[in-house]
Amino acid sequence: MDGGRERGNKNDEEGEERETEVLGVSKHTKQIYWSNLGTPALTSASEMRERRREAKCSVTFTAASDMLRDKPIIIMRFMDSLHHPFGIGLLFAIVLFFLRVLNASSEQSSRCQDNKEAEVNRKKETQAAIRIQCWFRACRVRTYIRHLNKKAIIIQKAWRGFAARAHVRQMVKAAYFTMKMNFYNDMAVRIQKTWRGFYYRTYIHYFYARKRYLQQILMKNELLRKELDEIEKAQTREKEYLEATKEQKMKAYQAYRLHHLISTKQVPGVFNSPYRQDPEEMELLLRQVRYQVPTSRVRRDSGCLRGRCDSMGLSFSGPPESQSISTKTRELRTRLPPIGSKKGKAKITQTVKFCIGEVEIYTSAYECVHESVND
Amino acid sequence: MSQRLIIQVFEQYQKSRLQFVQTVADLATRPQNSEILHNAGVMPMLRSLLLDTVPSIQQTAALALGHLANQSDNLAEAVVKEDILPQLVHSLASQNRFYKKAAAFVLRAVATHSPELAQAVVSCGGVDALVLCLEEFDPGVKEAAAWALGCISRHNASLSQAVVEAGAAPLLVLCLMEPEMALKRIVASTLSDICKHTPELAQTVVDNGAIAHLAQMILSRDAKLKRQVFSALSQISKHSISLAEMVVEAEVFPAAFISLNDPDDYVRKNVATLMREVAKQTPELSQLIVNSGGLSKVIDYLGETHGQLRLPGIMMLGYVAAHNESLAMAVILCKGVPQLALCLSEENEQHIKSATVWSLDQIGHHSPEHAKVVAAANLLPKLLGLYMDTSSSEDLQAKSKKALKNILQKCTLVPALEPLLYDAPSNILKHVVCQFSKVLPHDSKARRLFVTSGALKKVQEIDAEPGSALQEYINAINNCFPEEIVRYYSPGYSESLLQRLEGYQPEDSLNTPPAPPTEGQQT
Repeated sequence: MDGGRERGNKNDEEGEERETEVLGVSKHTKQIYWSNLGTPALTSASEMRERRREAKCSVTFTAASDMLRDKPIIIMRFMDSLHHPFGIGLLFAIVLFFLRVLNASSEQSSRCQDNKEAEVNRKKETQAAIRIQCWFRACRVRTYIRHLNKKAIIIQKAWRGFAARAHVRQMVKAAYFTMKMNFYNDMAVRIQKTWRGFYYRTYIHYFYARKRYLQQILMKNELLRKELDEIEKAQTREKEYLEATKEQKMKAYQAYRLHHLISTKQVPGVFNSPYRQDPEEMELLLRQVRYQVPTSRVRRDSGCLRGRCDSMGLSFSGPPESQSISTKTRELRTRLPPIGSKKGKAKITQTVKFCIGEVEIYTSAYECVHESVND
Repeated sequence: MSQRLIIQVFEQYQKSRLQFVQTVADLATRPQNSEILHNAGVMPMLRSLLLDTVPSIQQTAALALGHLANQSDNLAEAVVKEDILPQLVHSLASQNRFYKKAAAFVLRAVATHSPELAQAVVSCGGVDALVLCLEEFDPGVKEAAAWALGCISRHNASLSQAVVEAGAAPLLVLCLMEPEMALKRIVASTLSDICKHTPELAQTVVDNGAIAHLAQMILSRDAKLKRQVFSALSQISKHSISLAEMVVEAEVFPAAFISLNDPDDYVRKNVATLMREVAKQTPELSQLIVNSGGLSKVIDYLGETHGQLRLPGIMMLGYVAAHNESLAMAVILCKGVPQLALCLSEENEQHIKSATVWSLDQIGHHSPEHAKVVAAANLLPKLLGLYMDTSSSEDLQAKSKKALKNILQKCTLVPALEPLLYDAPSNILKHVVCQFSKVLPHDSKARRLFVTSGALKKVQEIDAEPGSALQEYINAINNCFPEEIVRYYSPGYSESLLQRLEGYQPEDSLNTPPAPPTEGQQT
């Protein structure tokens, strides 16, 4: 048996090599597998072949008879091997063997006959044996694969559990972290929101300040309008006053020139009609004039365009600054020229004509103010 | 005896020369004589008389020349061609004040007409001679010299530069302090003419302390002086922010408002110009003007004046409102918009209308509040009318289009937007519809109004390319209304209903009576 086993092992190795090529598992595992199985009974197909060969020789007779003698043991082993995966095939093989053995034992003498018979059945039996072996091999491989799968599943299960748990731990940490950050962000937003609202409303766009500002502008506008109206009124009043004084001055000057028309004690003057109750205002003015006899000649001061005050009873002095009257204007002549001197007159008209540009003052020496367009 | 005879001959000659010159001077004052005189060859005569020994003849000759040159360009050119100017300039230094006055008059008369003639005056050294005249004591001479310098610098920047380089600016500012009113006027107008060209010139004038004196003269009574003073200040302040700030620091502003009431129109116009130039520069300066109450005065000014005078006031409002929206709100509160609307309807000049439209644009484009005020004053159809009017100038059309766009983009007042749906061309219509699509989803009353006023119908009739923005807005509007209403108002609904009628067969024509014709949809 051991020798057979060795041989069987060698063949086993060949078969295993083939099988390992097919299955892709290591020879070592296979050996372990097979060694773990532990049934010393007919286990490999090659061993079966050996047995069959042995059955052809007569040496096996004794083995068979031994087996027959130990019938109960055999049957027990059969029961065991039936539970074994290869059970049925084994059974079959053993049945066949048994039959052959029986046949061989009964007809020892007719060996040639047996050989002929064996020859006849050889092909059929070979085929059958091949079939059985094929199936058996398949079973073996399947068992092996199943075993491998199971173990692989166990390994993978353990590994996956481990990896997943690590991953979940990581995810939990990250989720916790994000949760905290979200919370912080929300709180920060709340703070920033309040601050920005406050800041912008006080400093950048303070609505009520703007409203107040616009109202103040309106109030200021009204104030300014009132002020300017007052100023305007004052100005017009002043203008009117100036004009009135001017008129008055003119009248006074006329009175001065027409002084000779004053009424005397004997003869009432032109302005003092006897049919009137009161004398006219001109008459009154005439009476007020304090006449002065002209003493010296006219000063031909044509370069000086500023008017000078007259020393008369009625003050002809206007505002000291000649701001309201153009400097181009000839104001009142200071002294009247003596009536007889033509030379003086001629000279006056000449000097009058010596003026700048188109500003020509068509004044005779005895007229008053004529403003000329300056621009 | 012979001595007396000889002297008599000379005296006679002198008398006749004098008479000739005086007559010519008299004749030269009248325009119709000038051509005849020129053809008679008066120029060489006068030129030789300029070199006469008797001063009065010289002066009268110069005066005559001045009158002649004043009449027309040709004569002025003839004066220049005869090489009279170098002589004048040369003798200016030595003569008495009457001569100087007359010579300055000639230079002015020549320089007034055109830049080339002014350049001729400058190139023969006239400017230096005139600046020398400015140092004289006699105010008449100074006035004549200042006037001549003003006429020279009026034309362009290089001439002004020549005037300033000759050192005229400090002397002119000194002249401002003189008491004579006419001199002050002339000097103010000269400074205004110098400053108007470039910032550097304005800076030179300001560096000599002109602003302080000009500011003092604001309170004077003389209208013409005030005209020139305000004109000078506005020319200075228009160039840059720093110059404007200097003008404002001289405390011009509350005082200037007084002059807005002045009876003289040009004073008011120049004050408005000054305010415009200052308000244009920065928001702070505009704020200053607004805070001191200037807006109401300007609006009153707009109400009182007509025509060309209104232009600076209108532009001032525009510039103030352009800076930021609180200033624009201030303009609105001071009732600027009704006044501007009045201006728009009253004025016929194209450029005044463009300015008004531009100002309205500046006021209205800030926010929906602002746009509401402008729209409520019924201005949008007017703007549209101006845009569509073919007789409007291009500038006016462009400005009204821009104003319409800007205001429409902010306007949410539905009753004001509706009239525009009917008349507007497609590029304006896009904005109108866009505004509707923004307003309608939120306001149910507006939706009701929209439907009942027939605007929904109009919107359906708008033909827009699919995928364009207009189509998107129309879709947005249609989404605000239930589908039946939209279909009811869509064009061709009645036809589609009739078609449905034609395709309709009652189920059992034997037993059931024929279906009555569908009524109500046949409009």
